Amino acid sequence: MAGPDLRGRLALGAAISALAGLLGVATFAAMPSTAVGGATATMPVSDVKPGMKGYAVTVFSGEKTDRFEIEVVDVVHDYLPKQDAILFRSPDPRMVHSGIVGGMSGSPIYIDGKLVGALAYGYRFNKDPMGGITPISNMLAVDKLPFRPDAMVRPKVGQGTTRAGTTGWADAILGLGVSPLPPRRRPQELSDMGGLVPLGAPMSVSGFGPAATRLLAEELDVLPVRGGSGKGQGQVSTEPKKWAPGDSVSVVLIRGDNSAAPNGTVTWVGGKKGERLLAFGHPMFDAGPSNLPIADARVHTIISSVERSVKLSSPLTTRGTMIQDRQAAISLRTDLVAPMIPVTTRLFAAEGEIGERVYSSEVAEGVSLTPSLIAGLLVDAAEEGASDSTEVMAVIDHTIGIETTRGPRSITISDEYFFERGLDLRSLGRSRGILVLRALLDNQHEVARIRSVEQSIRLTYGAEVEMIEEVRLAQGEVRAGELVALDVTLRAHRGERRRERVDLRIPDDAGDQEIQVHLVGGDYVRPYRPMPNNLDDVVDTLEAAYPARSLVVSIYREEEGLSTRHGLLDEVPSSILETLAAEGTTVGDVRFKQMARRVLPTAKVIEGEHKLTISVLPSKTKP
Amino acid sequence: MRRRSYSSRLLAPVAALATLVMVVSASPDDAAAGGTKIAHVDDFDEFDDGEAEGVAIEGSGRLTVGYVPQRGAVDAEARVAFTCAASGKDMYIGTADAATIQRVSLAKGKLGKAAKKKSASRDKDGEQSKTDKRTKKERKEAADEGKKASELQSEVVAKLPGVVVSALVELQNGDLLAATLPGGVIHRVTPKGQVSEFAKLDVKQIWAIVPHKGRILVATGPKGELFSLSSSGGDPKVILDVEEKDLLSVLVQDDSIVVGTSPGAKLFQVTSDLDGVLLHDFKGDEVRALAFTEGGMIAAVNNFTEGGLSSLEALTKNLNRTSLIGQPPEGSAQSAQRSVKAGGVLYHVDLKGQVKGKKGKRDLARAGEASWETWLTKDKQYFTDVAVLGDREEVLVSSSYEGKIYRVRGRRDLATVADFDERKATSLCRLRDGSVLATTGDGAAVYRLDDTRSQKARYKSKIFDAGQPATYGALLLRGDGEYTVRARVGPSDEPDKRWTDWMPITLVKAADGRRGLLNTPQRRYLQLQFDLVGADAEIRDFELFYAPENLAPQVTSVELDRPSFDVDDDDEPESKVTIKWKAKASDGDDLVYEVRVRPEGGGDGDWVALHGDVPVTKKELKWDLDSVPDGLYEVEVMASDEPANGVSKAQTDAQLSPAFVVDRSRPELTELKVKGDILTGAAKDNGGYIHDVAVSVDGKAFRPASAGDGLFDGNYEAFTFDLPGDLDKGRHRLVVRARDAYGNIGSSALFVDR
Repeated sequence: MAGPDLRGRLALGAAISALAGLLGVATFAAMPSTAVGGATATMPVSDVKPGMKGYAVTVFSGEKTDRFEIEVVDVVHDYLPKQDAILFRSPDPRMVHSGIVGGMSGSPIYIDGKLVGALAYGYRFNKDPMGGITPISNMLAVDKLPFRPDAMVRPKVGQGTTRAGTTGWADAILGLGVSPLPPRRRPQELSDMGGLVPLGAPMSVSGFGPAATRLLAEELDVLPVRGGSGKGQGQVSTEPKKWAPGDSVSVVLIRGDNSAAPNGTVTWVGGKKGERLLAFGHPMFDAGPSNLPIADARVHTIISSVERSVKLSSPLTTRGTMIQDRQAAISLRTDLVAPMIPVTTRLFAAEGEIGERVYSSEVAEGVSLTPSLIAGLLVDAAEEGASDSTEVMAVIDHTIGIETTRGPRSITISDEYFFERGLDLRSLGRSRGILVLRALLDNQHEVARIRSVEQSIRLTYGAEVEMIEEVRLAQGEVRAGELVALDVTLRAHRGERRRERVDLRIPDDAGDQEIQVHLVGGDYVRPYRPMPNNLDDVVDTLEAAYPARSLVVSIYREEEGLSTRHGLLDEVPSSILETLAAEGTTVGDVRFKQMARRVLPTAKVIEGEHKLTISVLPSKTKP
Repeated sequence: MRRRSYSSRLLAPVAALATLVMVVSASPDDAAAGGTKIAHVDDFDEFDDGEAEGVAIEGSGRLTVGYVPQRGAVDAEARVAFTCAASGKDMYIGTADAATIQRVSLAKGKLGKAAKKKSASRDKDGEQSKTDKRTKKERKEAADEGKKASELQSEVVAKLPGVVVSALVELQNGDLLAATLPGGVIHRVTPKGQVSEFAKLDVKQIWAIVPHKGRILVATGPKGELFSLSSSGGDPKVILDVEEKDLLSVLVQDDSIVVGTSPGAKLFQVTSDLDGVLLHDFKGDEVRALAFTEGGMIAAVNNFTEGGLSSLEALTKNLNRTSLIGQPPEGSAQSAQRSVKAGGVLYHVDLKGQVKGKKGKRDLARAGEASWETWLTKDKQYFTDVAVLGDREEVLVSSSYEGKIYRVRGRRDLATVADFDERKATSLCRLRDGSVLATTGDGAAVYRLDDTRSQKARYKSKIFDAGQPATYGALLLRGDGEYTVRARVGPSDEPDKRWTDWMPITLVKAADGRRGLLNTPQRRYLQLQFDLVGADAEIRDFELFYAPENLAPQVTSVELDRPSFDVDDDDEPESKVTIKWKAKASDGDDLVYEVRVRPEGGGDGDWVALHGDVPVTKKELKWDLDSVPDGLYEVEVMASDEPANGVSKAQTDAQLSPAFVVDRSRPELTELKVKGDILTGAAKDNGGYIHDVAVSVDGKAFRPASAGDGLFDGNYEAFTFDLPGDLDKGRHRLVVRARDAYGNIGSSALFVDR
């Protein structure tokens, strides 16, 4: 709500405007009324009547603003919770041709020289240039909201079949058959609601191939439009820009060799130095408190489309921060600097002649945003230099610099995959390093600050992979304490079978019990780890993994162990375990089956999983 | 409690009379009427269902004065008090999750008024029930309250790394040696809480630390090694190395050292040979605790049934998930104790043989050759520790079941001497003053069991459910010494604010014990509390007489089942009909029935009973209609719960049947004529409608005639019958038969010439 001072200024603005009308100044031609102190005069929704004429300000091309005429069709009350929508139509020939354009979101609309609100809504496949205006009063309320520097953006995008929060990435890391990625749908398909829909902020992307673009679009639920990275876009401007309503503005998600920046229009400029901006007239991610960089933008042209025309734009220079992302507007501050994380992506293509490719970019910081953006960069690098539709091995390494409350540390994650018909670009978004990033940013202990990410993808032609085809117990009778042999048949991809003998010591105390012998590739099993007490424990668990080129042989026992917050009790007698285990409380300890494990290095990546349940006879030497 | 209901077994009046006599003789004041039930408690298992405080529940089924338990709450961060050490002047406990060492001391001064009030209020509300459904916060608050009100106090001396203090011993200089799981570090902890590393062994678990002959014995796992360290923690020597993974228990006597193992439940004696000497191989999985009695050795042996491998995948998945994200936020808990698949056995071996008395020295070699007696066997639980009490040769055994401590004196003398509110009793330590320190898990607490006989021995019975709001009558007790009894009643199976206060019961001597009358309101649930006063007090059994509120029976339907007949039946159906009814007693009482009949709409004086003086006990009755005049009648069935409640308190319910017809008169045949090949005639009936008419020619089978108007639906029906066209010349005999709706058959014969 505007305070008394503001209301006074608005009244004064209205009076000046009315005076201008009396003096016979054409309303359409009138400049926006600016009261003393720089505040723009505004018109409440209650004063807006069908048939009123006004104009909108936006950038059609280049960086300069232009106007187009509008006429109020009607006012729809409570179109959104506590928010009306003003329907308008534009007779402007450009608008008649293109319809309402994505990227015009936020374009200020004036009637009688007063700011009514922001162009923000349109109809898909509309035959008329008709759209909806978000009232300025709703937008100004967003300006009152504070900057929260610790905010981490978490786009509310459909999460596919995954579960929410930390359990989602844990499922993915453990390969529990659910994907943290949304289902494959075109972003346009996600908004299937009839009637007025937010125009959205078309994301100007550059330096990205189609697969990476699609991945970003799906994960962020934005409409991608090929644009440019813009000169000086990688730098924070030291020269202040005097922003004006109607200016094109982009939210910078990625900058550098690659760029991704949703684009819209500034509606309102306020603050003593013009440092407070309101834009879009609708949310971007609807994430509330935000801390994402913004840049001014250049509009190359408007691409007209039957479904939804969009502005083709490029972000220019980073000039501030988006601090709030709400239903009625995004709130921007030009005097604040948002953090960005440097990301170096290297590609070592299978085709030696392509050589090493290095991409340097920076990505915005957000809980699920950052991993998606970094995954986009990884996919993009692979897309550019690895369009091999043959058998390839891919080694993906991530070195992640993070800062926890215990100080900075670095995590190195490595995984290796075999692709039978060339790289499945989409699966790179689920590579272990990306999942670890998700885990770091979305954990239950503390907010990890990612300081840098170096990622590389190294491709080689070939099929360095073997499948476990059969596991055979070499002897018929197994007794406790004996050394038994397992014959493991491994089949190379399109290659020969080979047999490897694995010796296994049956535990002394396993007589009259069943044991399960489990053979699996190192990539498909994880070491037993205790419950984490802090983020560093989580990091240790994330780093603990077996190499893909290993065969992990485990013997699982009937006896159980106990995982507690103070460590794993993996070999304790039953009465000790039962004494320590809690009953009748919800804070239960986690039990597990006792296990002994051997990790056998292999020349190739091992795939497949075999289990052998063995009834162990008592030792012959013992009663 | 076993419940008896004499009357429920007795259905006939003679039996009911017998009941009356028996009950009257047992309780002349209250039990004269039927419906009296008796709850009887007289054996160990029944007494063991209740809660004992300072009371011993003897294996022979008696309550006697037990030990004085003084309780102390343990710092809330620890969930399990796992071990104790009390050889010096101080008492210490080691806890789990977090691994702390806490000093236990007697609270100074008496309890304040507020603390007493809180304690009493907690008592009344039954907060300390086994199925503790309180939230963690509520538990903590209660624990804090308990701490203020408890007689023991504990303070954290040191917090150690690891999950649990697995071994703890107090040295002569007052320092403590403590080991935590997992790991092989032994910490030295001063009474002021300064922690330093005493020794570090290359093992994963340390299960026992025992000073012996100026050195320190350390029993470890998982390589089954017994170490001997110097008194400063140096010079580690392995003095026993067995195949079994863990050495769980250690016992020393002079130069002899005995250890118990897991798995395998073996008992080894340490010798100069690293393999030691196998003294005994118990049937079981582990020797959890060892102790010397005056003349022998005690071994607590547990046997576990492992859960198989079926849960492997789910458990591994859960472990992996929790290792990444911690405990799932959605907690759930079973309110009741999960029964563990285990059994505990307490063995004893006589180490003195023929040489009895204190002078005789225990001969450890006998542990390998003499027979081990089974002193105690318990299912669905395991034993955690043993402690031997002085000269009395009493052995205390702590159990995983409902925080119980058993006292065993030889093979046949068993008692439950403590029943802690926490779920598991975890360790026992003999104090220098002869009393015993006990720790508990799943609710960490510490108790001191005073060796002197309890001055305040209290036993609360299991909550008794009468099934319905009940009148409680006499309580008959058999016992010795001085004791008092109180009762409380309430509407719920857990005591809460709606329950009455404890109400004293005045006991008077009776021929067969002591009797008291309960003056409680009518309530469904009841609990008794016994206070034993004086060391020789004991209660052997008690009987509670009660009469649950009598619910009226309900007769839901009465039906008349007539014998059926077919068209081709040549005979009339049986004259008896069956009256059937449905009735139920929602309080489970046995029912008897009276069945009577009268003409429909008749007065009360018109009822005629269909049976003699003996009430009907089945739900059906046959009624012969032979002597009943035709007409409309109705039957009434009245159910009574007299067998269960006596005549004067019996409740009844009656139901009338729909009116029904009694028709025993036969149809008449008239106007029989033969014209040409057609026989015509009419059938007439007074009671109902004509069902069918049939004709037999020359003794052949009856064949149906046709109704003149096309259907048999009235009490006067003309009919026709086409005679066979091939009748030979001569005289033929026709028999015409008419049957009414109730199967009555009238017939007539005529001759026809051809």
